Amino acid sequence: MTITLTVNGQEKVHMITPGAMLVDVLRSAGYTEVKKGCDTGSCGVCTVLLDGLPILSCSYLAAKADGHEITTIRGLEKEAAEFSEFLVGEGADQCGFCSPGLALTVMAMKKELKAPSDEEIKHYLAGNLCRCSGYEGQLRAIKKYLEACRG
Amino acid sequence: MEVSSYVRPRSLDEAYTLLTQKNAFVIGGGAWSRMSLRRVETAIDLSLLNLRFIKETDTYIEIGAMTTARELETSSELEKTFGSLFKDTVAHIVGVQMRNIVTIGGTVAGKYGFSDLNTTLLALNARILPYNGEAVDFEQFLLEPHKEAFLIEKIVIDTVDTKGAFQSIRNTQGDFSILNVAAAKAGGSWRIAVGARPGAARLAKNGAKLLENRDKISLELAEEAARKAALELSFGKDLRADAAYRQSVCLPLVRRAVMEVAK
Repeated sequence: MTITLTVNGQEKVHMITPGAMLVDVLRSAGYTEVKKGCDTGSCGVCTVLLDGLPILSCSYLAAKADGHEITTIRGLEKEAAEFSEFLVGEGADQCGFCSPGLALTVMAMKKELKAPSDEEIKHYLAGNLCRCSGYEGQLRAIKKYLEACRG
Repeated sequence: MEVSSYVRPRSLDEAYTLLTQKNAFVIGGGAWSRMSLRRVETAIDLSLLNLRFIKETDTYIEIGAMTTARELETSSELEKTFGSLFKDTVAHIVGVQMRNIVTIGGTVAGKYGFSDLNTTLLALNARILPYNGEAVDFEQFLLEPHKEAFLIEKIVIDTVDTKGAFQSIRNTQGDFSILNVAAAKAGGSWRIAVGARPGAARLAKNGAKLLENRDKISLELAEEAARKAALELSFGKDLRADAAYRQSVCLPLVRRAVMEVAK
């Protein structure tokens, strides 16, 4: 079957098998910035934004995304670069495999929550696993980033 | 999941007709499709049927089948009526990304033993409104298999003088529960639901009966109801816990949920 996806503002028709998951369709279409980690909906690295909301692309049927807008980390290059400076500043970027998923979720959180508390940040980011950082550095970076965005 | 054809019907009638065909399957959020070995002839996607809504009237709230867990978590209507009940219930379903995918209809239809949400819906005595059929009580739905095609359109919850609380125990944030408990009070009548036993949620009717029409619930009474609940229900073993552990944690979880509702 065919579906139409608008990825980072670019509309394209994709030929898919009816049961294909979104992560596989995106990666085979060349969006390899969408990472594949646990492939069971547990780790968060395959996160993309669907109509602005973060979803796990490994747990989302590509057919369901037909006609929708998808944003990968490349679609938010400027914001991602700004955020990554804060991550680097706190020593929270190590292997970097989880960073695209984390950054996209942080961008979504920034839109949804106004001045979130530490607890609210942790709650929003639960399910974004990182095997290097221990999360404390990430939390510091996120707080500083949000503060800087608020000015 | 292997799917031969994927259809997005334009009407509930069309969806229902498709569902009566051999080996047809309704896709809710579809989050489990990856994990399933099932072969489906026709996958029916309800995305185009405007089933994503939470509507309130003076006496009940209606939730469309395609409403996501995240929408239940952030709904101001649900918060106004039930306080943090729905937030507490869905808060541990993996993360925001997963809660943006899973739907109430898919969760209900799956009758999953681990389901946090079904535990709360059972305690609230929710009704399931199928397209082309009579409303079914949640308990009846969990207990009786459906022979006919059953297309869930919406879930209805009575709101007049209804309060509820959810408690669970799990190893880590975002993990499946070892045990789920929801208690709810509608007028003078109480319901205590226990899920992740690990089987699907069941009502502890003897425990709830103790609380009927009491003006004030003391800690001792809540404890007694919890003890009854832990004794009347069956518990099983899986990789998260054995039956005896589940039975022993049932007691404090029921007590806490009851005390929270009684507050």
